[in-house]
This record gives sequence, structure tokens and C-alpha cells, in this order.
Amino acid sequence: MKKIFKFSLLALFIGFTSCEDATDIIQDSELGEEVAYRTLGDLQTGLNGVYAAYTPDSGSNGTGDAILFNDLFTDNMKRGIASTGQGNEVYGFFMQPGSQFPGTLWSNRYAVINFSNRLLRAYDRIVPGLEEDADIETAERIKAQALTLRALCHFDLLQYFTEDYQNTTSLAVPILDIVPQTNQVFPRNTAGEVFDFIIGDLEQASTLIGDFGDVDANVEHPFYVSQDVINAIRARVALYQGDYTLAGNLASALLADHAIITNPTDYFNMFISDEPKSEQIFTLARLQGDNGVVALYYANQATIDGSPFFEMSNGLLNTFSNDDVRRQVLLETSSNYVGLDSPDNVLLIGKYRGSAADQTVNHIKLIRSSEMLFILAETQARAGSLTEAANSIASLRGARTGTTPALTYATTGEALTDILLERRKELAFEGHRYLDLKRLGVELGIGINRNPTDCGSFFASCGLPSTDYRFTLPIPRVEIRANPTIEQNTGY
Amino acid sequence: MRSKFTWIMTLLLAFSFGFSFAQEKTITGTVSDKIGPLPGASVIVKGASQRSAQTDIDGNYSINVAVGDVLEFSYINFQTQSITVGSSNTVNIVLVETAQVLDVVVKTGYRSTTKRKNAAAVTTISVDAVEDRSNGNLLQSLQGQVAGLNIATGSGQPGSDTTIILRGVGTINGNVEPLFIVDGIPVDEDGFRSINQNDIASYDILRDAAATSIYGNRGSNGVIVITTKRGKFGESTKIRYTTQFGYTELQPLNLELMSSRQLLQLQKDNGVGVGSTLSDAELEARARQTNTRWSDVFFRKGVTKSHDIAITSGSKNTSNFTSLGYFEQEGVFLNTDLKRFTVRNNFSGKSSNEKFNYAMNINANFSRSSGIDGAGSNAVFFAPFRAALQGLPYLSPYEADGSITRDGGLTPGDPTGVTVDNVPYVLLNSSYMNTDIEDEVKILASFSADYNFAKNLTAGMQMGVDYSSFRTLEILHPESILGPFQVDQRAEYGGVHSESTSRDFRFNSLFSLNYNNTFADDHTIDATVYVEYNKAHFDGFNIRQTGLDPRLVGTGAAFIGGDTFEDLDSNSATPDTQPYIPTIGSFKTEEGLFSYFTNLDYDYKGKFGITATLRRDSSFRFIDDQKWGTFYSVGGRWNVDEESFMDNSVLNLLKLRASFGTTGNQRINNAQYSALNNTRNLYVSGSGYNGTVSTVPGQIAVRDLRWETTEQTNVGVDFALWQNKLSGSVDVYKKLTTDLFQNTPVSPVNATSSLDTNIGAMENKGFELTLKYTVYDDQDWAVVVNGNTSYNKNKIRELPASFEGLVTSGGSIAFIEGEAINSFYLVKYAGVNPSNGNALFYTRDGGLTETLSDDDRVATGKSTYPVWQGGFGTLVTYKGFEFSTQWSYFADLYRNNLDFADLEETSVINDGGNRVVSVQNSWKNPGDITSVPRIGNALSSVDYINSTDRYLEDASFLRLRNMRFGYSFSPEMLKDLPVSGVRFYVQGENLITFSSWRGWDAEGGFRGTDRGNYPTPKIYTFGAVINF
Repeated sequence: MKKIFKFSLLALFIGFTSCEDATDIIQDSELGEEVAYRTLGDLQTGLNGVYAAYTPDSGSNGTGDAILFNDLFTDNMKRGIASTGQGNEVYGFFMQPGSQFPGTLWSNRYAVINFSNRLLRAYDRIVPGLEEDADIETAERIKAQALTLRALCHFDLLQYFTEDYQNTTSLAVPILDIVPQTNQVFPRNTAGEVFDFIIGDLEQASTLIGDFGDVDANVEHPFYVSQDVINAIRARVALYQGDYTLAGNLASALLADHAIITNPTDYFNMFISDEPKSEQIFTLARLQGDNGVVALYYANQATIDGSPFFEMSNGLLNTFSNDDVRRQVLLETSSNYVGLDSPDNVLLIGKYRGSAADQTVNHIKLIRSSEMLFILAETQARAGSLTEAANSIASLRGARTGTTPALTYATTGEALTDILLERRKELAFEGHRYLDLKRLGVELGIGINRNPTDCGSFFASCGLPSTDYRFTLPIPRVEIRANPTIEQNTGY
Repeated sequence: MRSKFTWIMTLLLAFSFGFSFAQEKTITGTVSDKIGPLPGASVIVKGASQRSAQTDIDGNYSINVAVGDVLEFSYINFQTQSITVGSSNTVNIVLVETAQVLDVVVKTGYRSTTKRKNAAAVTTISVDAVEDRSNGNLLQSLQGQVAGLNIATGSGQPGSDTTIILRGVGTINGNVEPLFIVDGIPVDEDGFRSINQNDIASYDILRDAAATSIYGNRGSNGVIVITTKRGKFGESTKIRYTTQFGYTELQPLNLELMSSRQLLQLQKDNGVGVGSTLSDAELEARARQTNTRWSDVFFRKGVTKSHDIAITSGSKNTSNFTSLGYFEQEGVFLNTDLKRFTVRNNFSGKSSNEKFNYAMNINANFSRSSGIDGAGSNAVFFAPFRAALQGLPYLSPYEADGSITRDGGLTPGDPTGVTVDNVPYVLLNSSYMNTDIEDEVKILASFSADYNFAKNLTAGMQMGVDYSSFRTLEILHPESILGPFQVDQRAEYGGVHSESTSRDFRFNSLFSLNYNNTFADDHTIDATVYVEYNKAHFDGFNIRQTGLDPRLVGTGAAFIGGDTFEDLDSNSATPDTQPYIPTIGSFKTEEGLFSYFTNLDYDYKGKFGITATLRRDSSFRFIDDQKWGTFYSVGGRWNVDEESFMDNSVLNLLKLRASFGTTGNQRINNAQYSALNNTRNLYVSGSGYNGTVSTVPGQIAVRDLRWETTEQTNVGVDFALWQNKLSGSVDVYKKLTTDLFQNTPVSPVNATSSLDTNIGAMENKGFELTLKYTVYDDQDWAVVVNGNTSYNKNKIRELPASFEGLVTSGGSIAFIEGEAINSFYLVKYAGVNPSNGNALFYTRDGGLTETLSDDDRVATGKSTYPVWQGGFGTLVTYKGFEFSTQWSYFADLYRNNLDFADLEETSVINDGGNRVVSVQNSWKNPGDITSVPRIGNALSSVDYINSTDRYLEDASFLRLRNMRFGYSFSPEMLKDLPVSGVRFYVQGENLITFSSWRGWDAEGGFRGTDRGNYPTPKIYTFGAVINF
């Protein structure tokens, strides 16, 4: 029996000594929560992640975020010559909770918010240990940027998912100012609550940001949140809220610092080689290797040989005179213009066609002074200052065409309609068109009205009335699945 | 019969001799049947030592035994008899003939038993059933041979991996494939292309819990035990040489493509594409000149060949099996093949007193698979199989000199050439010029030993290694049409070189202590305790270089330095850029399991038996209270035919079996090296904004992850009657998997939309029937038919509550409570609206609509996995001739046919793809009744596939999987030759298929949607087997 014991013991010994080695395994590649954010430097890398996660320009092969959706769903695009059906559903006004764009937008913006909230949580843990004033200031500026991006994302979501944001009780989107537990779900806050939250974040950021990011426009791109960026977002928010006085004041102050480019060549270069920077208020840095806007419209490069599956619409092209530099920016040079509204027109999208350093990548001009000019003009029009409004728009047209036209508005409605048209021309393919129609369309009775050649290229409907329920996106399926009690928007 | 056996046995005896060892005492005697002595009968001392002897030509034997040992006498086609050794030194036995069925050894778990005494549901496939088949992956040969075993090959790439499902899919996210054991060592279930089929002796397919529970931590999906050939003790050297030579060929295409004329006319009629630019005369001329079937250009007749030498030898205390093999098979698609070199050495030894046994198996293999990427791809310029099917027929594949073009006249780097119309040229060029190689070095090594150190007690150990090292090399040639686009159109160099190496080392050790005893002659107990340790390591390295020097393509010598600057915009004012910076990666992972378990077998007089297993398992994937899982099984049998009341029955075997037990699954995300730390919150460091480093959350912990558990109930009958002329088995089972690994949705406010959790339940119910019937058997002729069928009904019992019974991501397949896994969830297609030519669909409440809406989706009750599966075959022998067939079938499984949908696409007709002739019938005028919507309708092929059942097809098929005709020369004919046996045969794989599937290949690896996949080939080979 002794032998038996010896053998059993030996067997058990060999087994058990190696047990933990097989069952308690930490992979070498694991970065646990406690070591992820230890220092101020780690906080900065966290902020780098928040910025990187914000991607209104993402997408490829027919799917995308705001920059693609705004123009594809509306009237600025047509089918490209190399299309194999990309974007059919969006162009055909097919919009459901399972559609790609609402899900992408919702997931992306809430991911940015989540990253910000984690960073803010780590901030609260790390800052008490900081002793140097300079370190504390750096940390505060990191916090200011995180708050601004959190506000920007809430604002993005509010714009798309709220049926009537000027009604403070209208349902908007959930406010997230904490790192949630996975078993928590959140109801939709009202537009009023979300606006208050956004403004609160922006005001707090404004007190912390100092002179951070206040770069010399001749030297550096405004790649980071600064006081001006906070103010520009605040101006947008005020416009959406209907606080036109504040919007107008902020816009004119920003225009003083960031003058509209008056040289057409400079304007052209801004979208091609990213220079000059003077008109840019907030620009998302995009470097070689990042996803290029070109990928939204082309399988390869931004040329007729680069397999364009989307093109610019005849409707948009027809709004430009030949001397308008925006036509040169928008229409890539290898396009083939056959004639007015010809189905054979190949109208290649040239905005963000790629910089010198990389054929497919440009920095994203998220907020430009011309948008501030539009805000100013709109507030002027709404205040009844129709002459000032006309002057504002005329000055922009003059900057783009070289000759300032004589312009007068008889009514506020006429002014707003013209501002909407100018916004379409100036801000095409920059993520505005759908939101502009949503905001102004009902008021002006302007829906989507496509050029027949354009909608013919997709075999799709040519129009959508301004009152259509699809001017508010559905709460996406990804949220409904996890949060079955969340309230859906009308029509879906 | 007798005279034949005597003759054969005389021959055999020339190669074998008895052996004996001094111990307590020597028993001698004679084994005979009712006619006379039986030469070559085996005499075994039962118990752990497995000592044995054989009778000589006069039926005499001699063996050393102890008093109380049990001697077992057996002989082919005779009933086995057991005698307990008493005081007498002489034991004479008269064996009673049974019939032809041999009581095969069955491997269940870590031990062997006989078919008669096995209480579990196990199917054994001996080598004869699959030997000499010509598939690159040996598992492909098992298709249709085992009830309940689904083997699907989704690709015609020689040696490509198979998907294997035993008794239905029991999990949603977890591992679905069975555990594979080769000579006792668990191995990677996906690594069989490197293993030589001719080395295999048998396959045992363990189906019920009684069989699989002993592999409880990995046995939820069944276990396939593969045993390789071994030498025999005391056997003289034998050499077996086998060779095959043959061809692979594409299967016929079951749909009608348009000719040049038809397609051009269609284009002309609709005013698009090349056709619209041609006059009638030009169109006629173009159609006469060129009508290309691109499949003829991309596919070919491939050559397959193999050579194997196997040497077996044995001495008194050692035996050896050595084999060398070479296999080469060209795929039917250009530039695809598999080459394999294999070496195996299986050595066994024992001590003179037979108390100590050991074995060492070493198997080293090298295989090189040259393949082609892009199967199933929707990127048309990288989808070769799609190009072969859909390429435009009016493009000529020829150069001016009549040779097949390599580039269609396109200039590399010229973007005007890369248009959808030119897809076949681009792909032809890529197929010829690019490299896609996967090398595998696979080493299986195992050592086992056992020592019968005390009476009834045996200690055993076993250690094994499954080592695979992979190297993949993919080169997109810089001088290919697509080469110059890979860096930057304006850069001087193009091309991509991607290379990766990885090492996968899996170690397994097992220590056991066995107690075996028989009490009062009738009660046999066999009990074992085990401790098992598993550890696996996987690491690798990869690089991707863009920018290759075309003169040096193939190695790093071609890499253009990452520090090279180029002035891409030809503007000296802007800074130059560095376009050739390579990307690199490196990874290292490990995983482990630890278990202890015990197994108890009890047998009463060979009439009743009980087997029970209890085990505790720990997985590194779980923590705290969830770390350890407990699994168990109980099985019993009643050998009814052993009862005295059955003495005069026609039944030679009647055994009732029943078992119940549980097994676990800990592979949360199917793959071996995935979901390695889901219980922890993790962050990742990556590239951040504006060229910086970022830190962002990467994973949210799910701390209560635990073992997914499958409980299985099985009732079965094994039977044989009329002198074993008819034999078979029936099994009925029910499997219930609980704590399913599946994604539970979480709100995107968490920066993710789902987490892997344990939630829900799934059920599989089914039956399996196996039959074999000897229709006729006399001295010259024998006709045997066999068949098996299985039915498995899968049902998702419970999903996470928040899904409200339905998990859908907008695609065609959904998980629906009450339906089978991978059920199609689609809007029903109603046809074409005669008034406007648009497609019509049924709304959920039965109305008609032209608008596709997710609200109108319904559960179709159709799944990607088959409900019915089986096979049947015949074997006819006449003297030296043999003729066999093996059919396999799958029924009641469905797949979305995107290939056909693309070919019948009418939303556009100039997208670079050909069409099927039915497009001619598309709707044209109000009132047209047709099945094809108008040209220019809003819905594309992908819309139909994702949202409707228009192209959801029945993928059932019946296939003549193998047919063989052979001849073995009789020994008389060979007596003047230095060989002892010669056999020639011709055989074919996949010769005939009956299926309504519209495409090349109904077999699709349980895919949900087929688009541009590599069809499996027909294979014809001529083979020879020569024994020396």
C-alpha cells in the first residue's frame, strides 16, 4: 500500500504544483484600469483618445457619419459612375431604427461622451495629488477640453434626434455625465434639460480653458478646443435654442478674430492643401493614415479614375456661377461636364480631395467663420435688419466670386431662404445640409427637392416634404435593444 | 470458410510468433471450433497488463498467468469466451462461431473497451471505410459516414478546413466543433490539412454524455478520437507502399448565364453599357467574335498525386510503425494547391514481465497551401471566384497570339483600366502574379507509459504536444495591375508584402491511477482517478510593407526603406513624404485548464454494466466562484442477448444503453485564443488624435462569466441479427445547453453595444440510425449495404430578455426564441407587381407592399444548419474485385444565394457583371406577369439578400461522395514476385450531386450567404497499394 500512496502523491503533486500556472493567467498585453491613468501624462493620452474618437468624417463604401449623411440624404449628391449600389437606402429616404446612420451617430457620440466621462473621473482622482501650479493648470485645461467635447456630442445628438428642439419639453437624448454601469439604462431627457446641460459644460469649460488653444492662425491650425471653439459651439447652440441675440453677439465677436477669406485662391487652397488657416475656428487634425473624406465618395482617389460611387448633384452645381471659387472647390478637375442636367455629367466631389502630403486626407474644418457669418446674418434677418443681413450674405458672395453683388431682401422669409441657399453652397459636404433643412425647412416650407437628373441616377424619389417625420432620426436599434423602455420618435 | 482461414493464418503465422514470460504459472491448451483447431486465435490475460498470446497452426497456445486471472479467448468471427484461471494448467476452449461482425475495440475517453461492453453512444470508423480517399483534409472523407456527424467543407481549396458539427449546434458564441484527440492528445480542431490520412487506424466519434463527460471541460460538442497505426509486438517487418495519381475538376454549374449576344442585346435594349454603343451589325460581330465563359479561364484541371511508405515491425518487447508521405493536390482554381510532407514514427515497448508499457509517437508534418484570397468578398477587384462566375462574356481572354491574356491589355497603375467591366482581367492578372502562401509545420508528439506496480493497480501518465508553426506570405506584386495603387498612385513603388509567423504550442499532461479487479468471477470493477493539465501558448509576429522593388519581389530584399522620401505632389515647396513606412505587429497569448476527475466502470457477467464519471474543472477564463465547474455522467447497459432466454433468438447482439450527463464549454468566443480576460476592465493604448498616443477603454468586465453547460440524455440500442447479417444501432437524444455564451445588448452609452455573457438556453433533440446489411456472401461474392441517417432539431429556448425573443442585426439571419439557431428572418417576396414592375412583398399580416420594412420580417423556420443528414453506401466484392459507393446527403438546410441574386440583378445591368438568361424576362410593360422586376427597380441584389427570402434557397443535396473500383491480386498470382500483395483501384470524389442549388456547389460550409466562394472539386484518382 505504501507504493500506492507514493504514486498517488506523486501524481497529485505533479498536477497541483502546476495548477495555478494554468488557471490564473494574466495576459502580458493587459492594461488594467488602475494603471491606465496614473499621471498627468496619462490624462493627456486619455484626452487624445477622446478627440480621436470624435469622427463625423468616418465611413466608406456607402456608409458614413454626419459628413456623408447630410448631403446624401438630401439634394447635394447623385449616383457615381462606379457605383455598385452604395447609399441606395439613404438616398431613397429609407430610414428605420436599424438603419446605419442613426446607429453610427448614436454609438459614436456616446462613445466620445463615455471616454470624456472616464477621463473626468480619472481627473478627480489625479488632480488632488498634483502640487505644481503649472500641472494643475494643465489638468484643468484637459478637463475643459473634455467638457467641451462632451457638450459638442450631446449637441450633435440633440440636433438629429429631437423632433422640436425649440420646445423645451420635447424629448431629446439621455444626458450622460457619469461612467454608467452596464446594467443601467437612461431615459431621454428633454430638450430644455439637454440645452442646460450643454451650456453648463461649455460655461465650466470656458472658465478653465484659459488661453489654451488660442493659436496664431498664421502659424498653427486650431486643432484643439480653445475659448473661440467654446464660443463658436455656444453660438450654434444659441441659434438652435432660438437665443438669437446671444448667437449674433458671439458670431460677430468670432468674425472679428477669424476673418472670412476674401481671396478666392486662398479659399480654394484651404480645402486642398489646408492652408491658409485664418477662416478656421475648429479643425479636426487628420494625418496620413487617418480615414480620408475621399473614402466617403470614392473607392480610391478623388479623380474620375478613382472609382467614384457618389458624385455631386446637378442641383448643387447649378447653383454656382462659373466664377464662383466654390464651384472649383466642389468640382474635381477630372469631372466631365456634358451639359445642363445631362445624365452623362460626371460631377466629382472635390472638397477635401486630399492634401499634398496625402492624396486622400485633409484636415476637417469643423467650424469655419463663414458659418458664423450665416449665424450673424440669420440673427440680423430675424431681428428685422434685412439690409444688414443682405450685406452679410453679399459680402460672402463677393469673397467667393470676386464681385460683391447688390442684394436686398424684402422679407425675413426671403432672407432666410437665401441664407439657407448660401449655406447649401458654402457648407456643402461639411455636414450641414440635413440639419439646415430640418431647422429651417418647416418654417420656410422647403423640403428636399432634387433635380430630376440626380434622383433619376438613383431611381429614387425626388422629394421629401419639410414636414416629413424623417427630418428627425429614429432612436437606433442598438439603443432600443438594450433599453426597451426608451421612447421612439414619431413615425418610426 | 475453414480452409480459407487456415491458409491465411498459415501465412500470417510466418510473420508472428508467440511469446511467453515466466511468472506464476504457465497455462497451455488448444483453441478449436467444432470442426478443429483454430490457428492464430488470440488469448488475452484480462486486466491492465493486456498480456496476450496466439495459437499456433495446431491451435495450441501457452501463456503465463496467475491464479485468479481471467483469460479471454477470441478469434475473428467467433464469440469471445472468458475463463478464470484455477488450479489446472491446461485450458482447452471450443469457440462458437458468430458471424462476420468483429467485435471492434472502441475507444471511449481515455480508455478502450469493446463494442459489446461499451455503454456509450460511440461510432467507430475503421480505416477501411476511408482509406485511400483523395481529399486534402482527412476529415472530409468522414462526411456521410457517421450518423449525427455533419461535416461541411466551405471551400475547394485543397486541404481547406472543415466545419464539423456533432448532434447540432449547442452554443451561440462558444466553440461549436468537437474536441479532437489524436493518440490521446487534444489537438487543434482546425489543423488537419497537415496530417496524413494513411497514418490513421480508426476514428471513434463519441456522441453521448457517457462517452464525452470524461472530456467534460471540452466535450460539449462531442469528441472525435483518432488513433494512428501501430506496429505489433513480434511481427516481422512489413512495408506498404501506396500511391495515387489523378485530377481535380470543377463541378458543373447549375444555372444558365447569358451569352455575349444576349447580354449585349440586353444592354442595347436598355440603353446602357457597351451594348448601347453598338449597331446591330457591330453587336452581331462582337458576339460572334467573343463569347467567354470566364470559369473556363479561371478554373483548370488540377493534378493530384501522393506517395506513402509505411513500415511496421516488431520484436518481442518493442514494436514500431514508421511512415513517410508526400501529397500534392492542385486546386481547380488557378495557382491554388496543397503540398504536404509527413513523417510519423509510433514506437511501443514493454518490459519483459509486461508490467510496464510505454509508447512514443512523433509526427512531423510540413504543408504548404497556395491559395487565393477573396472568397466571399464584396470588393469586386479582390473577389476572384465572383469574377470567374460573373465576368462579362464579351471580353476576350486571349492575346493576339492566341494565348490566355495575363492583363487584358491593361497597364499596371493606369487607373482608367481599373473599372468594373475589367474585373476579370484584373483578377486574372492578380491570380497569376500574386502570392498567397500558408506554410504549416505541425508536430504532434506524445509519450505515454503505464506501470502495473501492484496487483490490480496501474499508474499511468501521458504527455503530449501539439505544436503548429505558421508562416503566411502574401504578396501583391508591384507590377500587377493593382500593384501601383497600393502605396500611392504617384509613388514610385507599389505592391504589398505581408508576412506573418506564429507559433502555437499546446501541452497536455495526464496522470492516472487505475484499479481493476474481478470479484466472485462475475463482478468486474475498473476505477481510475486522473489529474489533467492543459496549457497553450500562442505568439506571433507580422509585418506589412507597402512599396516593393519589382526586381526582388519575394523577400525583404525588395522592401523600399521606410526612410525614403518622395515628392509625391511634385511640388518642391511642400515637404516630401515617407510613403513606404512598414507596419508591424506582435502578439503573445496563453491559456490553461486544470482538472481532476474519476471514472468508474462496473460489469456484471458481461450482461450489465455501469459507467460513471465525475470531474472538477478549472478554467483561466473565469474567476472566483465561477472558476470551477463540476460535470458528471452516468451510463448503463444491458446486454440482453447474454440472457439465457435469448439463447435461440435470431439476435446475435441486443444491447440497451442509456446515459445522462453534463459537459462544459469555456471557450466564450469559439476560438481557442480569444476572450482571454473578459472578467477584467481593460484599457488600450493606441494611436490618438493628431499623431499622438491615446488611452481609451477597451473592454468592460463581466465578472460572473461561467461555464456554459450542456446536459445530455441518450437512449440507444445496438443490435445484430441473423448471424450478424443485419446490424446497427439507434440512438435518441436530447441536449440542453444552459448559461449560453451570447451577447447581451448594452446601451451604446457604455461605448460598446454588447457584452459576452452567460444567458439563455438552447436545445437539440434528435435521433440517429445506423444500419448495415450483408445482402449476400459466399466464397466469391459479397454484397454489403450500409446506411445512416440522423435528425436533429435545434431550438433556441431562451435569449436575453431585452431582445424580446429576437436578436437581429438587420441581416438575413436572426436568433429567435423557439426557432433553430441561424434561422432566416426575412420579408416574404411575393413577386413582381404587374402594373409597374416593382418587387412586391408580403406584409406581416399578409397584405402586399412595395416597401421593404423590417416590421414585415417573419421567422421562416429555415436555418443554415441541416435537420437531416446521413449517408449510405454499398460494397460489392467478387474474388479480387471490389466496387464501392459512398453517398452523403444533407436535407432541410437553407442558404442565401447572393451569386444568383447578383446575376439576376435588375436595379442596374451595367455593373460589370454578367446576367442569367432569366433577366430577359424582366418586367417591361404594364400587365407583364414575370418573376423578375423591371430593369432600374430600386432594390439591389444585396437588398433582396439582406431583407427578403427571394434568393433563400434550399441547399439540400445528395452527393455521390466517393465511388471506387479496385482489384487485389491473389497471392497465387504474386507468388513469384517479391511482393505479398498488390491492389489497384480507381476512385472519384463528388462525382454526382443532386440538388436544386443554383451554382457550382451546393455544399457551403453552413454559410448563411454565398457569394463568390471556391467550389469544391470533383477528384478522380488512380491508386495502387503494394505490400512487401
